[in-house]
Amino acid sequence: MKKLITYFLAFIYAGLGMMLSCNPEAEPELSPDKGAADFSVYVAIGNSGSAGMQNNGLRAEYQLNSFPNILARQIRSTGFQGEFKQPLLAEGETTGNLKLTDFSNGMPVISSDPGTANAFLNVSSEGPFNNLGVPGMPVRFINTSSGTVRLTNPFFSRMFPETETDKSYIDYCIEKNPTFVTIELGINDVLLYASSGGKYGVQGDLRTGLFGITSPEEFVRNYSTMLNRLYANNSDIKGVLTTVADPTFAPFFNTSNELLRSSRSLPLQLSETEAVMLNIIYELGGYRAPDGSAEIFIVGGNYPVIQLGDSSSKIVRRFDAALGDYALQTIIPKLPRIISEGLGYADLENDSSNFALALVPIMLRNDSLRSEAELLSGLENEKEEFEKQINNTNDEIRALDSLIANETDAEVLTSLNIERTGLLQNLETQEARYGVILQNWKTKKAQTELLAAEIEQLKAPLRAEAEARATPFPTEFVLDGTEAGYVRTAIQEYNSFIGGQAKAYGMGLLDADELVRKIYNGVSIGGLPLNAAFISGGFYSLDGIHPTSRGQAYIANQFIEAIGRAGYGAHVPPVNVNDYKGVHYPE
Amino acid sequence: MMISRVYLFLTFALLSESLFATGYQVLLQGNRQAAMGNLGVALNPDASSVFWNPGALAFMDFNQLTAGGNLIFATNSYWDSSSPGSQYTARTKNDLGTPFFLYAAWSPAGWPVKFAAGFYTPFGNRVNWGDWNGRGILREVNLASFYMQPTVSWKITDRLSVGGGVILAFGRVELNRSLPIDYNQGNATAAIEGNADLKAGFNVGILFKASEKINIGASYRSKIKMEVKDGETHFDIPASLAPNLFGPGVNYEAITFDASLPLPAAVNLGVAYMPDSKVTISFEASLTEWSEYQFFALEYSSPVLGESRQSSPRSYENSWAVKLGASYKMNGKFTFRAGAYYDESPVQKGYLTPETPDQDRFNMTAGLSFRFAEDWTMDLAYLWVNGQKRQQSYEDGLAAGTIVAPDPGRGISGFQAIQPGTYRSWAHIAGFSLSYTF
Repeated sequence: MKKLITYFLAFIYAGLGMMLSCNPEAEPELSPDKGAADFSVYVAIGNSGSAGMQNNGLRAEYQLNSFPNILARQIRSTGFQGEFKQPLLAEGETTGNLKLTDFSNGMPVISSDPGTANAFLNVSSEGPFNNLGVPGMPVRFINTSSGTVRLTNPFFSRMFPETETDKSYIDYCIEKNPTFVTIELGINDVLLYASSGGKYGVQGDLRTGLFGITSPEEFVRNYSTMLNRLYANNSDIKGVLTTVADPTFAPFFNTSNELLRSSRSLPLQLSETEAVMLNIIYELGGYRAPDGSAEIFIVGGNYPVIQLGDSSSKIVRRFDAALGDYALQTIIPKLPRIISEGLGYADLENDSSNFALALVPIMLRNDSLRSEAELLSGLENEKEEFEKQINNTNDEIRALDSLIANETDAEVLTSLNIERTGLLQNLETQEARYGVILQNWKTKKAQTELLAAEIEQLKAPLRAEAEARATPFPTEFVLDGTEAGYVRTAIQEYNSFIGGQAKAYGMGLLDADELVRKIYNGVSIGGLPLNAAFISGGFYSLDGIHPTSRGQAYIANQFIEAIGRAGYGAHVPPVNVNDYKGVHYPE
Repeated sequence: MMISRVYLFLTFALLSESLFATGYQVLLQGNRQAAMGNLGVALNPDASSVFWNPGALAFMDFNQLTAGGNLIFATNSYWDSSSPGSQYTARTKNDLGTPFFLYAAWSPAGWPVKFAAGFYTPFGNRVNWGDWNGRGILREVNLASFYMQPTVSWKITDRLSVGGGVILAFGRVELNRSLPIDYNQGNATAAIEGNADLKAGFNVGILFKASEKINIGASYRSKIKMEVKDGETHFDIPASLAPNLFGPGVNYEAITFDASLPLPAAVNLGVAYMPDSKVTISFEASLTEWSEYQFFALEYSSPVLGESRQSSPRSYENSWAVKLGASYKMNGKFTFRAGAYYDESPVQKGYLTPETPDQDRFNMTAGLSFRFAEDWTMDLAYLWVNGQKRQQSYEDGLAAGTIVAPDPGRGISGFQAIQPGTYRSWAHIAGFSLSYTF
């Protein structure tokens, strides 16, 4: 027995010794691996997303948290030792950015840091860069000479030598001889159109070539050129393409709808007089509903009226989220004007010229005109009735006449003639009554016309002022349902092309459209929510379009997943999203 | 003299708490027992039988005062295995856990009745993940419970004794997590802390000496529901944001919370075999009725981030531990002890929350007694607690309801109470106690 116990004790002691020597940690089972990818020259081709823009501006802090920079850092663990050069702004410099300074009654107070003097200083001497993310770069311009692009894009200007005017963006991408690329382009082919509410129409501003929707043909042409040239330069290139995200999932397009819906101070309930008066003002101002009528306002609920189409359009209608309208984030500063100046309705403040009063005679006469018109149409009906009767009688007489002409029997002739005399008497009576009615009708018609003319006369001097006082929300504050439809159609065509190219070239694909929908629904990262709510959602920065650092980290992980799915055997470790900041709150 | 020392020890011990059996049970209530595979229901009694088996106390033919405690060096490790390719790992920086106990057993010589009392810490938990990737669920938890137990044991026959005590329990809970708000002070945090109300329960036992060589024992400790009422909340947030988080005009510093946590009942059955005067071998099985713990819910006096109640499922299941231990009395001065036990986790798949990153555990123990003076004995114990690796995915959480995906279309904001990944825990536990026999 003693022996047994000794063995037992010895066993436990030995076991303890063994356990102390083994490693009890929960450890990663898979090491980072570059697989068949060559990460030695990673070039990020893209726009503001790749550049790391936040709060509508660039700063070094933002650039360091761009997804390409995060991705490059993660790629290092696979053995990549090269540089990932970014066109960094100097510490303290900003191209101008929004910041959250306070909350006042629960509403965010957003101010802006103006751009600093040297923000757009040309940094091309530090290049060539690996991060070629150029804010505002559309696919439309990637094959355009730098001399032209520079005219409208200071972000582009600062990155490339000022002396070069012939090279295109694609040329600069090739020059770096990338072995691995992320291509995040295409949003700017619709975004300026969408964020300006289609102000210039789908063709855009013809002077700058901006603000429109790039035609899918042009998009495909330029995008193909880029891919062809990248692969011609290095047939072994690997990378990830991104689809184009539907911008309407970003807070820039959603926050204001919510504000409009929840704003209790809007004059949403219109009385009959108000609706009538507003309709007169809009009619006088030359505005029409989409169906061509002047019935723009109705009694009861009315959201503000918006201008549809481009900025010259006179077609207006009530804002309606159910029709797919998006009130843009830029509308927020204008919301107080809804009350003070009737923006979206009519501006009747400071009415020293008694404009509103001048509308009253018109409204009264419109009422009389309406009843006169009713009478007139009654008379007209009567008039037509008699005309019909007289015609009938004439027809009967004509028929009788032809019978009489062919009749030989005298007895029958006599009776026919008697009948004819009767009809002639009838005709006489009818014509006498018709004469009275016709006279009445003529008088009424003249009266009505006079009234109408009088109304026109009253209206004429008011038209100019009515046009000024009818204040629909200008088109640039709303992306209406039709315009949103144009954006989506274009994106669908772009994306089906990009998806096909990723497959054809064996590149990874990040479905950015799916990503923004997922964020719109919301995700939870380690118990911390990440979603599309303005400010509190943590994904989007204060401009409502560009991601925060946390958003960028999340996007970097989506790229990493896409690399994993791409099938070249690379395992890049994802980043800890919660180590990156969302919107920075004031104290 | 004695009393003041004990008092000092007590005040020190009150500042800190403990961990380490599965769930948030501690099970370190005597170092003689701890060294033998953490078993004690069928052993010949000493003062710590107040906890292990109040029924055995009457068989003590001596009086004893015991004070002791343990130092727990526990670490939980985590690997984010749910993100493909992730190299992210985290380790807790848990403060030293120090469960303690104090027992006294006394009767006039020759009486069949023993009077005893104990003060001990059967449940507790402290885990500090810090700013890990699951910080929105939990950064740190401190849970402590204190049981006081006046006890009487009666030897009915020379072979059978029974006993029982009334438990008066109180406790304390502290939790801290991050909020999705970044400002100059870093991540905003939400914390709660509160003392649980005094509650009563009982601990009863029976010891049957089947022969000179065989003891059979059983004990049952009742469940106690720890309830915190009007506990304090602390929010480190940007002040300007308070109306958005708590509603306009709410004084968020005055928000209180209510919560409850079951301290479950346990049944222990054991047999001890003493082939000679030097050797003891004992086997024990324990069932802890963890199925009491179905939900963790916090109720705030005023909504916090729009929610006045936070609730997530736990769905613990009853769990068994089987233990084997032995001791060998070398001479009048030294006794050596060793043991091993397997401890089943009550935490089911999908419910592995960061505050109790629990696994099935295989533990080994060793220790010794040193009778350094006629009336004084010192016990030393060492335990190696080795949790098995345990993996849990996002989908497991969805299936369990510990993760609810947001669905704005249906008005579901979603929540996350577990952090998917792979967990492992281990601990070194040292024990020391001192007994005075009279």
